Amino acid sequence: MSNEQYLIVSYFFVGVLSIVIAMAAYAFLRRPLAGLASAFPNRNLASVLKKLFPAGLVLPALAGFLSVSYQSCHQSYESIIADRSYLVGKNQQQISAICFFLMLAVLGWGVVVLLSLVTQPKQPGPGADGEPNRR
Amino acid sequence: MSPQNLAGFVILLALSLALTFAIWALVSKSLEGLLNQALKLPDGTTFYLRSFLIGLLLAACAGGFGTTFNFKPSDPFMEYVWRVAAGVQEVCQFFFGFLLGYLILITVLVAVLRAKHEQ
Repeated sequence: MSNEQYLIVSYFFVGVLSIVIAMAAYAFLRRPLAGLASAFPNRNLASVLKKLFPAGLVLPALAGFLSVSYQSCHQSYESIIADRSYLVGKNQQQISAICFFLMLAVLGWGVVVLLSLVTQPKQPGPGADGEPNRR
Repeated sequence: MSPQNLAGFVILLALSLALTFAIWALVSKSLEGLLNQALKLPDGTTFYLRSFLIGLLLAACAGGFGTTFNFKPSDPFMEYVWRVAAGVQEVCQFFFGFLLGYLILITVLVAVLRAKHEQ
């Protein structure tokens, strides 16, 4: 495989990999988030959170992948494809950036869930007639 | 990638994952108890525990993949060791950043929800 072929194949492979990693994180967190959302009295908020969650993981992963540039220091295309180890290093940087952006996204979703929990009105206790429990 | 470079990379990744699981084993039980106490929602506990594990794994991969091994087979052994050490340092930085963010998040969560439950 020539270096140019390697560049094309690896670029699209890592691009697809970014989506796969994001979807794996989504699959791992989907059920607990859905369970949490179903506990919210506000159905619209629950629906919005559940629908935005996959996008909120896939987009940061793609942003991480796209944030790595091959043309640093104004290198020409010929000099980029001349060195296979440079291409491998860039692929590793892309995967590293994907993981970093996804890590930030997971933390960000933690904050979103926290805010959703905090802003929910108190649920009425069992046996109460719509009145919140008071001590 | 030469076999030596590949071996260096695999060792770095293995060390990163070992660190991840060491932190997980150390913290997961107490964190689960704390979340159960603060959230009072089993799904909430699962969500934050899984977020913690995913965040640790992503931090390990971000640090591990961020280090490139492009030595020649004739390069001395210690060059590989220093590169692995540099990689572990990067992994530790990512762990530090993630743990800091997560701890702030959990502290705010516990403080705010405790105040809410006491109302």
